[in-house]
Amino acid sequence: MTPKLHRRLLFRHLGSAVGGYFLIPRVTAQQSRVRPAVKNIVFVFLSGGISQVDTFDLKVGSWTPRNFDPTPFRGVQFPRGLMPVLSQRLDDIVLVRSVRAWAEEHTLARQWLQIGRNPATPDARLSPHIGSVIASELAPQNPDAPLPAYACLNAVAGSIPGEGFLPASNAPFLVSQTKGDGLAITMHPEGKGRYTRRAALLARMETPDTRQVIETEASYQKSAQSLLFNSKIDAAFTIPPADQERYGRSAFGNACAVARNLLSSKLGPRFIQINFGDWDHHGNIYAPGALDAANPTSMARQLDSGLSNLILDLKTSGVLNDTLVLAIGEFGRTVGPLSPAQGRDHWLLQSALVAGGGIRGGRAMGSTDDTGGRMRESGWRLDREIRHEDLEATLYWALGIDWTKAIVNPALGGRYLYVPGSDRQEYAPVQDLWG
Amino acid sequence: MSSLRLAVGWVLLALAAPAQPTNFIDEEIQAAWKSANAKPAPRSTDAQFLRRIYLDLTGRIPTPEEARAFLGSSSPSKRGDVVDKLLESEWFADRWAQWFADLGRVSHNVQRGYTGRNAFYNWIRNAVRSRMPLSDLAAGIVASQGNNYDDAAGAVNFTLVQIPSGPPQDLADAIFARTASTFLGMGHYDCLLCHDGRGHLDALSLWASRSTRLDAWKMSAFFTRVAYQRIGTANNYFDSNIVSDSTSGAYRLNTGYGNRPARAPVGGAAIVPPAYRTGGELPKYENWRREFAQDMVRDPMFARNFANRLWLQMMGTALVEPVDALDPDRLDPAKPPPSPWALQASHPKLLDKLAARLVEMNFDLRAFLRLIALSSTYQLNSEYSGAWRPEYERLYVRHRARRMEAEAIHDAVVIATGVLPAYRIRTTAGYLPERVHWANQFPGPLSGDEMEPPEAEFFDAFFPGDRSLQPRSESGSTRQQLYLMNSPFVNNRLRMESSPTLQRAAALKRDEDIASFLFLTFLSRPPNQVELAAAVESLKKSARGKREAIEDLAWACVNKLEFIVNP
Repeated sequence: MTPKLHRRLLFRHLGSAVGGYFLIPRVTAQQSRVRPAVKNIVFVFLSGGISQVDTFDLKVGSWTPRNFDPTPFRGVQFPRGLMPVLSQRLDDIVLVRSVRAWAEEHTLARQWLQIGRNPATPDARLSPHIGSVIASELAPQNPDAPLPAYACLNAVAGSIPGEGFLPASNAPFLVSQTKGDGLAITMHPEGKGRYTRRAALLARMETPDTRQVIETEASYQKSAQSLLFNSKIDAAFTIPPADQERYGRSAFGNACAVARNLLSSKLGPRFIQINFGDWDHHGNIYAPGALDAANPTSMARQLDSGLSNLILDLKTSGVLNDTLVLAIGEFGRTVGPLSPAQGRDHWLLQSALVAGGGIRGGRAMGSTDDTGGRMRESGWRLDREIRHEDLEATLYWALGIDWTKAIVNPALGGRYLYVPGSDRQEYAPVQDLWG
Repeated sequence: MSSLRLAVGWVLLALAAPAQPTNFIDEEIQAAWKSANAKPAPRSTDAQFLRRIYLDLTGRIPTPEEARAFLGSSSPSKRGDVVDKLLESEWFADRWAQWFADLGRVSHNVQRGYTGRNAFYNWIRNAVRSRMPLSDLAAGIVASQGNNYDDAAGAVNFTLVQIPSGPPQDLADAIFARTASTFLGMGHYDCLLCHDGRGHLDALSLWASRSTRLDAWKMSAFFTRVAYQRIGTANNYFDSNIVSDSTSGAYRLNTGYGNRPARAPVGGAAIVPPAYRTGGELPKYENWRREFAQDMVRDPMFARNFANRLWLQMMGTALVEPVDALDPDRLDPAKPPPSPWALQASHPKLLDKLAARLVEMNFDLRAFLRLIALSSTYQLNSEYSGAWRPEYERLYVRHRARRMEAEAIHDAVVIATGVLPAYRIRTTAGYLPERVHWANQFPGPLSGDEMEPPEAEFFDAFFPGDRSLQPRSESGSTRQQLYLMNSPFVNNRLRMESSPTLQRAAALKRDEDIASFLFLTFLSRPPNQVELAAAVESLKKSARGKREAIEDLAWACVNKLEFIVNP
């Protein structure tokens, strides 16, 4: 939802923002740390672009609602009123405040974040989602897993980049709505008894057919049949009322609880994306549905309950160190006083929340000026704004994947770098998250 | 006469006819078989041909009446007759409008809006319906002007690829690169717009390895006079764009920012005048895009591109792959490239002849598809009984069976069950008054406002692609099979009270007839001996009544692996 008012501003920003693309300075990035050996990623995609100066990089002004309850936290302010549960998890979290998106337009920026490169260049043709790349690397470790390595919860079908040129087995396993009552698509609507009779009839009518497409489909059908009435899958997607309540009684909360279950179940998913939107608050940003501390069902409070309890439960069950959690939107929002529409518009500088994976939590990394609109300190060795490509490199590196790898992209006939420019050391993993 | 005996009779009749060459396609392919000592499959059965030709020409499976009529006919010309009938049908226009919509990347985006998407689609569908030659269709798209919301000017949406970012040269490059790939199959121009071919494309394309960034700029220069005017008034044209051509503008070599590397003067020249790759003369007219369009349709690559792409759609395997990486220096069989390069096409003379024939036919889509459909090569069986070798794929020793496209699968479920969905199609301001029932008539990838779960989930599982980053794919997946088994989209249509098909089945007296009817409806063929026996037993012995047994049999038909296959 791009506002008409700011379109010219948008174009100017877009031109200049994408403009710097070929001029990024080359910096040699030495890999000084031992890899963390993370096993899983949870990627919370805050689509629409969450306002950083109201959340992870709180800047208090006359506009800040009193009940945000700004609380000092290791040299920064945290909105304890807006995110009460998260404020108890701060020791497990790094608030990264020096991230800068390349583009301010939703479609471009969303794709950029999720494929880890500029979607408008020819090299990006048929680029896979980062999750698909991770799936292609990790899935072979668990060949008998019933579910794919890349799962995406609460995504509208077709709304996120898919596997691109990678084999279809790396496509996301999409669950459009997590209601916490099992995984509907693995249940036959007429019930188990009827399904069994139908499957038996189907089997009796089977006729030999050696055509390749039929043989391939047969193996997928067999896979699918093994998922049906699978109690482990059903259990992973069933969230008891008490947990639903604790996680915030929302689709987002349910998805967080399902992610927790999937990670401990070893059913297959290693990269789990949870879509949560729409944070595109051009107007009425402090209204009850949006960033409202008083309303427990506001988006901010849903994020608070869901994300915090996910982190807590992963920690309690001892798998937080294995799981890197990244929560980020496609770009940030304007700073200072609100717009005439009582909201905030698109802004390239943004924040990210990182947890798990053995990072050194309990701090903010990088800093911004008084308004929050410009970076002051980068907080990491490369001493510049952190880009989406750096975050991409971080995920691969943390998982033990060679982030400098290049594979063949059949669509281009040429090579596809996991992280663009890795042959020129343009980007690097943000190792500083680990200390 | 029982359905089974009919079936056996038809099969014997179909297999009796040997694969006689009917046109130059067969001559070329059969010569290749001979050289490779490859044994071809026999002719397709009537049932295979029936389902295949309906899907390829109209994107939908035949009704049981159509199936029965074709399979039961003993006319020696029945295959040709059904080809002609389908080429003239409204469904043909719908299906091939989708093919062109894929090619032109018709979709909603920030620049086009929903109304622009719809206008683009309508323009294409009208062009196909009115039998516009492909040359006029392509030229019409490239040189189009007008308001992108108007159906009559819908083709301008081709240039509205994304919000312009960076310098104007980037926009010209983006439009030109898309044009070259789409209409000439020359996707390497996109690479050349960043750098010379040498040092980058040496292993991929002989032509590109010899071409320079300057060569690409000369072509891109034709697109430097495109002008957009965005309309911001609050009426039905809100947020539309008027696309026109100005009389000034040039490709200047003076950029230091944007989506492509810096552009600096070459040999002292700071401006690149437009020069078409096959001519090199300066444009005679003021409208550069129109000039480009005229040169483009006369370019030998234009005909080769379409011949290759249309062949791919019908045959399942292209003569040159990838279809947008054609190499002009390796396609002429009379001018083979120097070693170690080889001619690019798997059958260079065939591609040449197909391209020539397309030109002779004045780019008549229906005539060209008819040529392919009537060949013995197209009509081969998709089962291969001998020992298969990977090189046989390019030899077309059998027809390649493949998974149906998402639209065809969606529509097959709808046709077979008789339960129509009714999608509301967005416009920028609201919704179109008429609902759409068929995926074959979607104006573009539908948004969440237009198609919600469970339909959207079912549809998306079959990888229709979004005409942007996500390609269309014929891959199978576990998820697809789950949806065929369990999704509400399918199962809600397999209830006696909802489905006219199941009600018709229930009105039949004999169980053999019920089984035949359901097989003809879902699978376009009668059941074989094993299937018939199992189906009849299930119908007779169902403890829960015939109604439930019929529903179960229909479900089994949907979940038979061939239901989603184009044979």
